[in-house]
Amino acid sequence: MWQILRKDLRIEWRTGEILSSMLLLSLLIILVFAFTLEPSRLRGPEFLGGLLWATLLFSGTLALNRSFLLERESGAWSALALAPIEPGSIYLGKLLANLVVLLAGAGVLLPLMVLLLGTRGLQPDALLPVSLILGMVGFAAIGTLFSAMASGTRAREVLMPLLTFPFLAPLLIAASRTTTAGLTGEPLEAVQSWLMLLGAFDLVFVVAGWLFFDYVLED
Amino acid sequence: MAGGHREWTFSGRSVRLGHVTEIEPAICAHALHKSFGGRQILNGLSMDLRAGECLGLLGGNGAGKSTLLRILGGTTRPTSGEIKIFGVPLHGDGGTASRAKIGFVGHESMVYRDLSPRENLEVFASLYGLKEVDTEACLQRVGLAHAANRATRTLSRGMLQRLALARATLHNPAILLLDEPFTGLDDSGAGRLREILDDHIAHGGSTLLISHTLPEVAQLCSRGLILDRGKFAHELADVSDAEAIRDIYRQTIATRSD
Amino acid sequence: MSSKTENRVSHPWRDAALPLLTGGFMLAALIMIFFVVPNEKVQGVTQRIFYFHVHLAWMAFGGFGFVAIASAWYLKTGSPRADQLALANAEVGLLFTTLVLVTGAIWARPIWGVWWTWDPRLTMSVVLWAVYAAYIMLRRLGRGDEMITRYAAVLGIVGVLNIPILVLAIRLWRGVHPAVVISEDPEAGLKDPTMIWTLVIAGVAMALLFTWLVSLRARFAAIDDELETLHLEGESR
Repeated sequence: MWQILRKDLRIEWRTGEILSSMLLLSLLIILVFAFTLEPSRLRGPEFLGGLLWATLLFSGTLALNRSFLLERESGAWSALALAPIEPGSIYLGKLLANLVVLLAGAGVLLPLMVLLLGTRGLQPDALLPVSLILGMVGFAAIGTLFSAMASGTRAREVLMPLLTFPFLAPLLIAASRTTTAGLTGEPLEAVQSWLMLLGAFDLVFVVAGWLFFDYVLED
Repeated sequence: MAGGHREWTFSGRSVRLGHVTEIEPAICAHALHKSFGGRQILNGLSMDLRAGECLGLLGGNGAGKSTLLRILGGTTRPTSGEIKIFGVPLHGDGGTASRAKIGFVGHESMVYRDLSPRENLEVFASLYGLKEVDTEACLQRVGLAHAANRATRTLSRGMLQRLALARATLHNPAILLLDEPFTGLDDSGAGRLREILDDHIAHGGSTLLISHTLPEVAQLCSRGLILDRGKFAHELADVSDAEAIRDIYRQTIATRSD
Repeated sequence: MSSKTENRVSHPWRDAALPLLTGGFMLAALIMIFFVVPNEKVQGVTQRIFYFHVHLAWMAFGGFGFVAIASAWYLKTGSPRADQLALANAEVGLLFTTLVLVTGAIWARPIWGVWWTWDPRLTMSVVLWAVYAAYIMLRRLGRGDEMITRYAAVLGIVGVLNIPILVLAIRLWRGVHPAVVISEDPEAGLKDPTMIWTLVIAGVAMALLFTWLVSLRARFAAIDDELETLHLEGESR
């Protein structure tokens, strides 16, 4: 598991492809939101949480897709299947690598959004990173499993979002809610049930991915 | 097969195959079926790769050779049927460890384009649980030492093939599964491949070779199997004569009803 | 392979009894719903659609469970029958979910004055619809790809896991007790025993309809697979 994480991070460090394209796409998406919805109305932290997650959803999906293209490209996918490692470990390794990239993306994106959309009413507290991490774990869990599947088909670019979005519905609701709360300084207790939901989501889908990766890891 | 002590070293540990008259076959495949979509690729195939032998797999295009190799290597699962590696089922408990005994060269190089050859080998070494590995020596053996730190993306087809070979032999596998390994290799590369194979065979390793080049098969293999549309059409006990193989081959393929 | 002969042999249960039963019950249900049962006190005539709607919903959700079971069966045994059943359940499930949304909207307009709200139950139904659609899209777009039935099976199982979490999330989102679903209110509701009967008959009718449609669809899927096999075999000659 750790080797895979290291390998992915090394590749990413070298090329920076995934992170940079993710960030660029995020920026463009924010611009689209700014053009299509009036930015003046969007000022204020209530929107920020939701916008952040909406943007991350689209650009994050791209990042996840690219991550598996790395493997499929030269057939390295088969090499992983050949190696004497448990498929579950491969999943977890990929998951962690994706998580790092996604969190890095979110980390850059958030200040950027704040910059573009105004800082009125912002009182970030500890809830903010907690919500981001919990949300991202769930996103990465589902995304890693589904992009592994989608990357093996012809229509991978459209298939991956198609599969992932419906599944992420609960995550989106919970993550937006908690992130907004984190931005406005609400205490942890206020969104406790949401956090628990996120935690449950993460747990269920990481375990599911870990169990089912065996069936996906085939030529 | 004669009895006697055989020692095989992999991952730094010795495995004694013991003083027995019957040695467990390296690969034992039983009743393999494989279908993609509606198409039946393998139809109830059973075969053995005996320890220490070099088996040649022949057949026309689409006969199912590559699929069979992938199933034996474990990258593809058969629709039904069983595979055992030295007696241990490949898809059961303990099957994962058996994969360490297999080295595979396929149609694709199966390496990471964004890492250098040396880094690739380091990654694979860690995936195979090798504590210390001499990547230098490995690259030397396939003649890639001079390109050890170049981006793999820039390597030519032949060099990628050499890298694939290095990847496959890095962990000193007891079994080599090779799918047309000579493709893309120039004379020097082919020579190195032959050296590696000779070395492997000399140490008692088992090999399964798919090749369309009959002289190669004649030279390297001790036994041959002809595959036709998912089933075995013919077994050749003696493959020393390329011409003889060609005749039998033509006969076998020609007799199928068109 | 056995599925080849199965399609040619006529199954008395599947080919005759099931459609007859379904037809019979549907007819009975329709008669009861439109002619026999009295108007419900609060909602009037519109309420009659409830008899369809609630059972459509049950079958739609249940269908998901069947997809998961069939998918698990497929992963375990690789039986093409299991795969066909999973697909059939998904498609009929999608149909029923669409109907749930449509009948829901028809019911809602006169009662609440709007075609749609973001109420927990409705939101859940939309997401359910999307998950079904994703499953079917995966199979469509992946047609011809080797691993597709496997991936679809994994999706089918993971999809079911989503449901309880979804329920929870949406409940939290819009408040715990949706005031809009009137059947929860014991006051105005199914007072008349005829209503209960209608409900039961409609329930049986819907279940039969679902089963019949699934069996039809599964059969088509089997024939489809068979055709593809023949086609590919013919190509390779």
